[in-house]
Amino acid sequence: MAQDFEAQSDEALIAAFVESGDQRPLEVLLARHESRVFNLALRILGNRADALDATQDVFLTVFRRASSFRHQAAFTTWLYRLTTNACHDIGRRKKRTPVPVEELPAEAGGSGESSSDTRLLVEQALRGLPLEQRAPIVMRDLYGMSYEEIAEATGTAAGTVKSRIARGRMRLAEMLAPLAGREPEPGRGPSN
Amino acid sequence: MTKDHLEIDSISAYLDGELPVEERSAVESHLQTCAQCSATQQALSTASGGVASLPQLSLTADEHRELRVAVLASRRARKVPWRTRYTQWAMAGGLAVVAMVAAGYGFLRDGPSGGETSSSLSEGAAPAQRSFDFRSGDQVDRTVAGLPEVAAGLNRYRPEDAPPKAMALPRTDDGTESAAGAGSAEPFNPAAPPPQRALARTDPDQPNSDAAAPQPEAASDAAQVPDFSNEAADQCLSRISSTQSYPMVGLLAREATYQGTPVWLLVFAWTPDPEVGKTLDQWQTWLVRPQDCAAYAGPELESRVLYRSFSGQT
Repeated sequence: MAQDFEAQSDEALIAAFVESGDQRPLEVLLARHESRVFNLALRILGNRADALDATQDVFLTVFRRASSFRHQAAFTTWLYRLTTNACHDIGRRKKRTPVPVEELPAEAGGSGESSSDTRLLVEQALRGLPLEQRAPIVMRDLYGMSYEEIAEATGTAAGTVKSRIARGRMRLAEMLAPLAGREPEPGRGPSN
Repeated sequence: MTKDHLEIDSISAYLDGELPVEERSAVESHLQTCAQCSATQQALSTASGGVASLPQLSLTADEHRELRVAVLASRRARKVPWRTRYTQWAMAGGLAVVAMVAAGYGFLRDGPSGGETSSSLSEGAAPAQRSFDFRSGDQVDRTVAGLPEVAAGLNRYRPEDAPPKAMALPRTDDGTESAAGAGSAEPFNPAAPPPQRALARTDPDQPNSDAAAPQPEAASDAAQVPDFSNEAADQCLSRISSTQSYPMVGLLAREATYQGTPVWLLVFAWTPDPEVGKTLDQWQTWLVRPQDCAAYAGPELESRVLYRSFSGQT
């Protein structure tokens, strides 16, 4: 029954689908995670249409490859890895085409004009980062994932995650210097 | 740590609580005494906080629906474009497509005009002599896509035609269960002859429901299709239709064999979201063993379905 599926863990839902072919566990997974996948893709890609494409790619892959899911890992880790891959694929296809400001999501993010301006500035700055820095920063700062989890999701080492987040933040800090009302630290830019 | 200052990596990881205890203490001590590193910490913290303050956005209702339909209707999406086209041909071409399926691919066996019995029929011959004989899921999909009954049935039913959920269906005079919902003016009778049944479903009170209907000649074309009707399979079809969470109507039920196992071929018209097309414009095929259909219902039965196609869409 659908209500039973609602109460089940992600991993149990995947197992139920693989075992029975019943589509309903997958529907529950979709409803449960589509927003997180979409938001992650949106912040990585900076573009709503691309984020929707990525979200669709991710869940199509989940549904097709459910049987290959390894239960040693958390389902969300797998999901974020698929999201990262989908974003990379789309990013490669688009070859980092600059995204016009009009494509930014227009939902209210806070109260007042200044917070909206701040958000736009942060979003612009974020999109100025290379994708390999953007993804771990979004995972860390928006989703609170640990370096270890990010490493699994991005297929890199935890040390690499640490370094990419630091460099990316430093570049963000430079771009957000007007926000802080001061110049960025001289001589403290990213080392490479 | 460099000679005089902390590495940016360390400051960033310190902010994230990702440093080992001993290193954390060293970083903490240094930050208390070094203005430059402290300023760097502040800059990194501002950057991190800026990202963390970004709002979580939601999909719009339309985006959510489109995503759901695209994903759920395309569990094996690589085939959907092919299938969609195929269905359109079937609806437009009727006999031509069915004949192509029968002659070109050899999926239809031993119908009234189906020609010779294939030597590749399953051993034991008895079930295969009088039923569809499928060797693979792809064969099932393509055969169903070519059945004019399916093409004729799609887009002809609305969500309100689906039977009330989880309710016993009334018995009809001919002993079969009616899959018609309470609001349906003309009960759907799965036991009626396939082409006539589909075409006879035209509801004069709902002229728009004929928008995608095949031409009348499809009725005579459909006579070319073997009729492996089975009353018990029809009843199973109706029972399943009445217990789905989606609006779903049984289109046809036939005897078949699947990789040597006698099964019932059940085809449903359905829609994953009643608001999208306002018709049941997708089909799904199940192959289920007769004994399972007799013994189980609901999820227990669904878990025993031998083959379930992805959903074809017009």
